[in-house]
Amino acid sequence: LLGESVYRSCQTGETTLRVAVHFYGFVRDVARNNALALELPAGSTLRDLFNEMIKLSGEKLRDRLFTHGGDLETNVQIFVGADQVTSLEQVIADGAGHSQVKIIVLSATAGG
Amino acid sequence: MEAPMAQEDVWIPTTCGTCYSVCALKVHRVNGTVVKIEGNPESATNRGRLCPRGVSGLMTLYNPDRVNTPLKRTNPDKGLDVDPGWVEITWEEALDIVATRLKSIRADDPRKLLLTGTVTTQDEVPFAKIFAMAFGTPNGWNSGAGNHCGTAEHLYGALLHASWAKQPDPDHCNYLLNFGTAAGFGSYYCVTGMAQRVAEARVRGMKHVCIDPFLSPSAEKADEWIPIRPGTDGALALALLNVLLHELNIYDADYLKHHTNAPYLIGDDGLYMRDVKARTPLVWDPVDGRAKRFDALDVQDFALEGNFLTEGLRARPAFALLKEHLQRFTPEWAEPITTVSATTTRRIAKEFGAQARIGSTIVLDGKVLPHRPVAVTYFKGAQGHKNALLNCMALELLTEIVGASNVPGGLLGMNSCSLGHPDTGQPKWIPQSDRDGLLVTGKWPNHPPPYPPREVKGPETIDLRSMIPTCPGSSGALPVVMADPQRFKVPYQIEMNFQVGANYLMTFADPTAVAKAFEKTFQVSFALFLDEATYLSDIVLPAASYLERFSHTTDWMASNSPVGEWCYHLRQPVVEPIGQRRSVCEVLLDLVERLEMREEFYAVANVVLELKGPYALEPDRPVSWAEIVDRRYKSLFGAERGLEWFKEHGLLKWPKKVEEVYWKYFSHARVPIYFEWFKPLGKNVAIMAERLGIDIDTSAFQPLPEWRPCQSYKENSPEHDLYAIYYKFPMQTFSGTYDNPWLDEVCNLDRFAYGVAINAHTARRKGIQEGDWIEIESAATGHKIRGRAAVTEGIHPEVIGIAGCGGHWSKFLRIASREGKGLCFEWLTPVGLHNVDIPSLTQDLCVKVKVAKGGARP
Repeated sequence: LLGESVYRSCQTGETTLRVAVHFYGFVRDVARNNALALELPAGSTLRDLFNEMIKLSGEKLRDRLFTHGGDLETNVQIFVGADQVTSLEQVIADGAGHSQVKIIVLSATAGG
Repeated sequence: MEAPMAQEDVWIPTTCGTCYSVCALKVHRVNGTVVKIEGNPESATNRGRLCPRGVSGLMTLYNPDRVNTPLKRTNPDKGLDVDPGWVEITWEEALDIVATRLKSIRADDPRKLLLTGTVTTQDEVPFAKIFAMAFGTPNGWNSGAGNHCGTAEHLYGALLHASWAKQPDPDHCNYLLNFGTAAGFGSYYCVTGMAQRVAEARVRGMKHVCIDPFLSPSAEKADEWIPIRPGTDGALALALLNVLLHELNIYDADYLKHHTNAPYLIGDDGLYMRDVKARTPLVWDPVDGRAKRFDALDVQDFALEGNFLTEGLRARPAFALLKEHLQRFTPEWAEPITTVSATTTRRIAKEFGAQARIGSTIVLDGKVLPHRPVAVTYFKGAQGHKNALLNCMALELLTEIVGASNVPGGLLGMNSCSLGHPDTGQPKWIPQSDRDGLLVTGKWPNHPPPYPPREVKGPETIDLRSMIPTCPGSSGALPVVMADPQRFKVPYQIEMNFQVGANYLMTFADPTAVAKAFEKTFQVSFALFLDEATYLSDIVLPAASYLERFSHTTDWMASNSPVGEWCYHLRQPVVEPIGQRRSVCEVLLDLVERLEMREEFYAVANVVLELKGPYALEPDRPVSWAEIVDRRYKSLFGAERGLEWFKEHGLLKWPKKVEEVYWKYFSHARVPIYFEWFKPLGKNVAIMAERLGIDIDTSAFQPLPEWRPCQSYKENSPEHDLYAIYYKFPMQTFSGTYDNPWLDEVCNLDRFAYGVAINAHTARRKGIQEGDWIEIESAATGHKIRGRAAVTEGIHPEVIGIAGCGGHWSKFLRIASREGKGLCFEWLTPVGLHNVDIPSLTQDLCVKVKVAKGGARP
């Protein structure tokens, strides 16, 4: 669900990257949609992607995914295509001009 | 007349499910009927032996009180003793009702779903957790948060041992200081295997000193029993540390320098001094006379004591602060608290210190390793108190100070390090270290592990765990918050409880208060029996027992013995599910389809179950539970060792490496003896609590241990003059086995099983004789319970001891609910944050009581 303003802001790059983002796990209550389709300038990093998503979904999403220091929470797992990614500075690319990003937020739902 | 020839006579390998130890079984089936259960001699876990619970499993399989069909409540009123008015419904009808509710909740706010489970459904709860995660809720509660769970002990398991649980090294330990746990004797992880191994260690000459208010089933096997006042184990540990460091000067300097944060420099603010650029902790090199990064290659030696100036600021090594801190905790200080004489404390410290044999080595598999043949064990009894975090810290430091942590002879994590099967290198987990050099677990049953510390966040969960991230598992705050979420600024209320086998009304605290928190939720129960918690259910689904279902998750890290061989088993059905019983995992997969959440569920399952490549679940088609089990095994052990291979062979085993069992010596990770990060974390919890208007005491978030009195110490009514304690009884597992007729028969032979242990002198003073009915009234809740007196010299004179989780009242449990089948301790303990250790969210389990002859059932 591509926001028009986001789409326009992404048109400044020479080429663009279509990113399909899927949210799974303990994030449904703060991500407004389970899935987002975004278009970003080619060469965008995961951090750029997250910034866009937070613009769309609000600060609660940031609070769920990030520490106050800006690091990813340890229960957040990100996959670009089939590969698990740990650095937010990673450039998003798993195909020619399009990419699938899965964000899985695990939760400790029970103890011993 | 001749008996008919048997047409079938088979022995089927599978695993036990009557407790969380997951022993390997051989089940004898004749003409479709299970006639006998034995231990599987091929298994390295229990080595062919079984406890009474395991042997009695077939009586649970065929128990006529079992739930065999889905049930729907017809009585809208709910209460502890209100008959739900069950009517039978079809599975289709039941799942329609459940799925409709779940869909509505998920669309509104998925956090409104709660998952409750228990450790005896160890194979089902992890799968249910995947369901809950994919659904989008962070809310779960293992009823073990009450009487059974080690809670804070598990936290230190992560911080110091990279493991959920730990055991003494049965092969090399010579001196076991056991603070009231049945580990190695009758319960805890790898129960039957460790009972054998610890028995062999005792034959070999290992001395076992048991410190416990009660001469328990493990204390009776000790060389020495030291009765102690409940809740004061931490005080005794502090006094032992005091003697070791200040009177005997016994500590393992080499271990402390290289494997702990003892040399880290601490500033006047109580925090690490850090390198200006790298921000890593500093140590003092006494050879060069300057501070260096802890991981600098040119550190020639690490100062453990002294005062230093670095960057113009004063600093002292963490060890120096610990030593100074311990100075006041003398044996004379501890004696009036613990009732253990100062002479005894000094003697035990001297024995422990001498037996640690600091400086000695042992050669194993050609490798020279430190040999520290002493271990300190404890679990719920010592830690289940208001002061849990700091009690555990003191107890753990005994092991750390003498360097007996995860080295031959010492205390071993169960199973901190796995280098995998020789053919595949899987499963693999290795302890790591963080930027501060401190230990990070390689594997942990929840996500994420307690260290590195998570940030303090607002009330995301219904149990304060998001605000207090040091709670390692289930939270004692859940019933408090659930009863009044607005008070804690939780922006939602739980609407549905998905209950997988947890009889939480009999395993936490005051059943009336717990019921109050749950009675407004729509409850769906997967149940073997219509136990007390199902009185609050709206739908009951008949669950297949462990003898009727598949499972792969019987291989979690604490199932294996800490030494010997790795052993991975398959749990498989030995009979088709009886009646309409179904595997919980199969039902969950059915619900996944009905809720149209296959994509989310598979994505989460692939991460949690580590299903990759050809074994990953793809959302293009639904998979069965058996197929998931198959994929899990193949992903671990190769394409040829899937479900069919395990069905035939039952288990796969291979020898453990020295580097796995005694991993500490091979690891760069350090462990804390000064818990520096507790301090800022506690400050942040306090800030958050103030912001939310929650009144909690955060003062226990401190880097060094101390002893503080339990809540019950403040109950000074002269009539309530005894402490009541609960202890695990090896013939029963929590509340779940009391309806088993064979176990009932065994318990009838032991006067402590269903009785109340009371000291002979105390009984005489109160006019109580053996076998008298006695009434026990709680100072905290006002509730009364009663049982028969079991008069003994083997209990502290200020204490009464209650075994297990008896005292059932569900009319659907026809054996367990009879008068005289034990007592429900939970009636005595209150629900409330005042009774909870805030940093670990542990429920306090000692309570002051009034005891007198007579009384009626509650």
